[in-house]
This record gives sequence, C-alpha cells and structure tokens, in this order.
Amino acid sequence: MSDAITQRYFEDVWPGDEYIEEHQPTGDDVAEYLHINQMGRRAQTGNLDGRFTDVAGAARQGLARPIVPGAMSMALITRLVTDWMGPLGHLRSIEVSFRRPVQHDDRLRANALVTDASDEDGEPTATLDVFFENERGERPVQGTAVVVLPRRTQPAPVVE
Amino acid sequence: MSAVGGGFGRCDAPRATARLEALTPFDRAGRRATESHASSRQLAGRTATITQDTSANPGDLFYLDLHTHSTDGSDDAGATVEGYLRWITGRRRFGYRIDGFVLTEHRRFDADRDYTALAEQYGVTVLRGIEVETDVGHVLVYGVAPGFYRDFDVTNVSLPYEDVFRAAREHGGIAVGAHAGRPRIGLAEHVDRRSVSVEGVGIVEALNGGSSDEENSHALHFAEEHGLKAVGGSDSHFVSGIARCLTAFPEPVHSVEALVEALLSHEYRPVAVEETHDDEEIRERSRRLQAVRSTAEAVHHEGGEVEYDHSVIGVEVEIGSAEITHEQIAAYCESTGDTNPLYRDEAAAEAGPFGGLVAPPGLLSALVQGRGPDPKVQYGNTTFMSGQRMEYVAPVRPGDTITGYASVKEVYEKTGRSGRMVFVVNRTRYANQRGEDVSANESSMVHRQVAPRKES
Repeated sequence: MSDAITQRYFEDVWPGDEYIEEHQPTGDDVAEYLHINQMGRRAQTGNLDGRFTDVAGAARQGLARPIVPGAMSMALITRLVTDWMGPLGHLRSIEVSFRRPVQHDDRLRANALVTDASDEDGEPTATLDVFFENERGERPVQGTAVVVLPRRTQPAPVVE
Repeated sequence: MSAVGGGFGRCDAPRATARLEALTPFDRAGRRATESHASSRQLAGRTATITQDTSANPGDLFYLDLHTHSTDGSDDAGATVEGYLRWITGRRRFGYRIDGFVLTEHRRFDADRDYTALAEQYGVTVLRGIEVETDVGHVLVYGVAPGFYRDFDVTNVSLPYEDVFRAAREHGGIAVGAHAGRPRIGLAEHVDRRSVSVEGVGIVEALNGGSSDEENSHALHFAEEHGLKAVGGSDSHFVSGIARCLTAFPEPVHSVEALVEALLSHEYRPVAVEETHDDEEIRERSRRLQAVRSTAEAVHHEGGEVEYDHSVIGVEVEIGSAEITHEQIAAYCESTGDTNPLYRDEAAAEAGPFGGLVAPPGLLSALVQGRGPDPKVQYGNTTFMSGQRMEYVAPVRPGDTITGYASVKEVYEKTGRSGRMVFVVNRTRYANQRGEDVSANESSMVHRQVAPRKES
C-alpha cells in the first residue's frame, strides 16, 4: 500500500478539507493504460486513430499534442478518491466532465475537496469536488464523488 | 500525511497560507500526494485577476457571482443550489466576502423555481438569469420579462446575437457577453476575426472562473479596446468553483431588477475572490494578468437540426462479457499506479469491508466494452468523451463474469469553445453472473467537426 493511503474516518472529515495528488502522465503511461484497456476492445476495431499515442494522430484530430484518454483520467480521479477515503470507505458514485483535453506530460494537480460531510440519512457520507488543474490554470476535468466513510466509533459494515 | 484541526464549517481556526510544498517525489505512476485540512490553509483556487487597487476595504462593496450553473437546469453541472449555499457559508467563515450569486442555467429558465426560502436560510442572495447561445458565443441574460422567452427559442444554439442584446433591453433586462475571451463561444474572437459589430453590446464577462488566464487576459483587453464594461463570474458547475470570480458593486443588489439597474450604471468591476478577503495580505496575493493575446482560430459553424436515428433511444443491447481475473486486476492497478490493498492483498482484503479481494471501481468500464446501439449522428468528423458518471452498487470480485448492457439515453446539441457539438449520452448497466446489477455507467460522447492541424 502506498504511504499516501490511510484510512479516513467520518469524524475527521470537514468541509474544506483538501487532498491533492500530482500526476504527469507520459506517453508511456498512456500506452500502458491503453494496453490494459484494449484487452476489452477485442470486440471492437481497436482503432484508436492515434490521438492518444502520437503527434500525427493527434494533429489529424485538430489537437496540438497527443491526449490522455478520458477513461484514464477517470481512472486517475477515481483512484484519487479511493486513496483519499481509504480501504474501509465505499465509493458510491463519481461523475466527471471532460472540459478540455488533458495532454501528454501535462503537470496535473488532482484535487479532492470536501464540500459536504453529513450523516443526515443515517450514513456517514462525504461529498467531494474532484478536478484536475494543469500548469496553464485550466481545470480540464471536473466532477463530484460521493463516498460513505466508516466511523471511528463503529466497525466498518461488511458490504455483500 | 498530517491531519490538523477542524474544517471551516465547524471552527474558527487560524488562517495560514496555502501549501503545496515539500511534496514527496513522483512514484512510478508519476504521482505524488499531499493533503491539507480546511483549517490549515486557504481554499483559494487558482484565479486570475485584473489589476486593481486591493487596499480598499472589501466590506464596503457587494460581491455577486454573475455566472453559475446547477443540477436544477444545466446538464453538465454537478452542484446543487444548496451545496453552493453551504459552501459560501463556509467561505465566509474563512474571511471571504461573498454576498450572492446568479443562477444562469444553460438554455433554460424555469419560471416556477423559487429559491427564496433557501436564500433566506443561508443569508445569501440568489438571483436568476439564463445563459443562451448565439452566433457569436454565449450570452448571459438578466431580468427580462416573460416576453423575451416568447420571442426566442432559448434552446436554439445559434440565436442571432444582435436580436438577443436588443430584445433583452426591450424586455426590461440586460445581456452580457459571457467568457468573452474564449475561442468560439466568446465574443472577442468573433469581433477580431469576423469583424462582428459590438454595437448594442455594452458589457462582457472579462473575468471568468472557467477560462484560462490567457483567455481572461484577452477578454480584458477586448473590453478595454472596445470601451465595454466588464463583469466577473465563476461559471461554476461544481460546488467549490462558485465565487472564484465575482463582480463588485458599490451598493447591495438583492433583486434582478436591482441587478439590471446596477449593470446599467458604470460602477462595478470584476474581482477574484481573494480580493474580497478582510486580510490585506490575501487581497494582495491576487495575481496580475499577463497581457497575452489568444491565437485561436475562429470557425463559424452552420446551424440546422442534427439528424440521427431516433429509434435506438432507450433500447438496451448486450455489449459483451468479461471474466474478472486476478491478472486483469493486477495489470489495471499497474497501469494506474493503484496500490490499494483491497485489490491485491488477500489478507488485508479479508479484513476489509468486502471480506475479500475486489476489483478497482474503474476496471469495469475498461474491460467490458463493445458496440452499443448507434444513433448514427449525422454531424462531425470525430468524437471525444465529454463526461462520465459511475455508480457502484455491489462489489465485483475476481472470478465474477460481468456483462454489460448498453442503451442510448439521449442526443442533444450545444456550442462550446470548439464550436458546435452534438452529444450522445450512453448508459451501460453491468450485471454479474447471478444477474445482479453491480454498477452503472453513463457516458457522454461529443461529436465535433475538427480541422486537422499541421504537425509542429
């Protein structure tokens, strides 16, 4: 387990808390992700038109540089949330909007920002804004996540 | 990681400067992590600001965010109105002065919505306008009489801008050119490249929370060059984005009528949220914009209703199955640098909330793919993913066989910085070998017309 992952308990979570991971996805990182992703694309053509892998393919799509697949950005954002909440947390939902391209080698600050912490419905739930911010001051990926956290005072429920 | 103090919603902890220093080196996935609690640093996002005298007492002014979106009316928003109100309450406790905001949903104004009670509960002014789409970009409209909505089909993504600005005044309201510095959906580029007239346009949004520094700089220069007045708005779609940029008024603005009157005066200016703080040091932290011209090329798109196969809407089709293996989980974790023990450490997972190993949440959409129903959209020469929502109902374990069932939820269009866009919203439901739903995915693909670039 990475030393960045510790267990988060509801009692310790406050609106305004912020957790940041930094990423700089390279072409090699994207290639590795696509290799895994393409295992599930056997039923498809497998043609990714190069926008994710090479400059020429990106240029054909009107892009200045190759881009990181949206699914990979989603995976990194999802991991940001699961890292933040810790192994005993339960990710209920996550939703992101891809507003600008994430380019290879962009320096990304992945932010998870607690916007609400509530147990009004009997479940200790935290709502987070999640987003990437790049070195140009843009937020190319933005979204929200809802997680259920354990309490310090109660054992974590077993999810069937 | 350190965890110190409480959050701004529950205590009056001392302020400190933002910190992102002393980060650990990148790990193999190019990642490093840090965290801070609300009480130990300022929450200011990265915002640009125009050059202003920040020594003035911010308490003398009234700060209104003129551009926000919510789940009540904007398809791409993730924030509720009450979420905004709670967030603003917290920001105030941290010393920021935020008096209210204007909801400007995309292409929609629901006259029946009433936020009066919520606004009073939180002590925040909540007003309503609309963001429409015209042939020169997006336009914010405030305070118009119902006749405006009879004159225009506000769902049209290419309204004639001169008519919109004129009609807004005729119907007792006012129109503002939104995010003026953004390519294609901001006014500046159309004026610069297509010699569009600014006659009838009095105000532009020159400080927009969703625009880059360069785009805001462009907007500001554009406003100065053409003698237009400038406002600020966050263009927030998510809770923490609200009030990053605002407009400072000399008098309180508690109604849309007062807003129109105030905008017709000359006494307001766009500000970044840091400028509203009661601490002069934080006000001075606002960065100055660099005067950099945008070099984006304008593309004028043709209108017309998009054609597609309506018969596939709502029809669910099986798209394929995949058995979840330890090897796939390991490979996926390697590719994303995920070291969560629930996925690969049997002993730790045994003691975890699922009583055994589970698959990472993101694995399903990566592995279970196939061709779903195709609405055959007759527009554009490429597609990109524009959004995704995942819901996790039950754990997925190694050995499970997961089957995906896809359908097309809807097809719609709007305009963005890349021009006209047609969105196809797909839904995929994932079920295990026992027929139990484990997850659901809603993803939007955008169809666009792009011009190839020369390789540099």
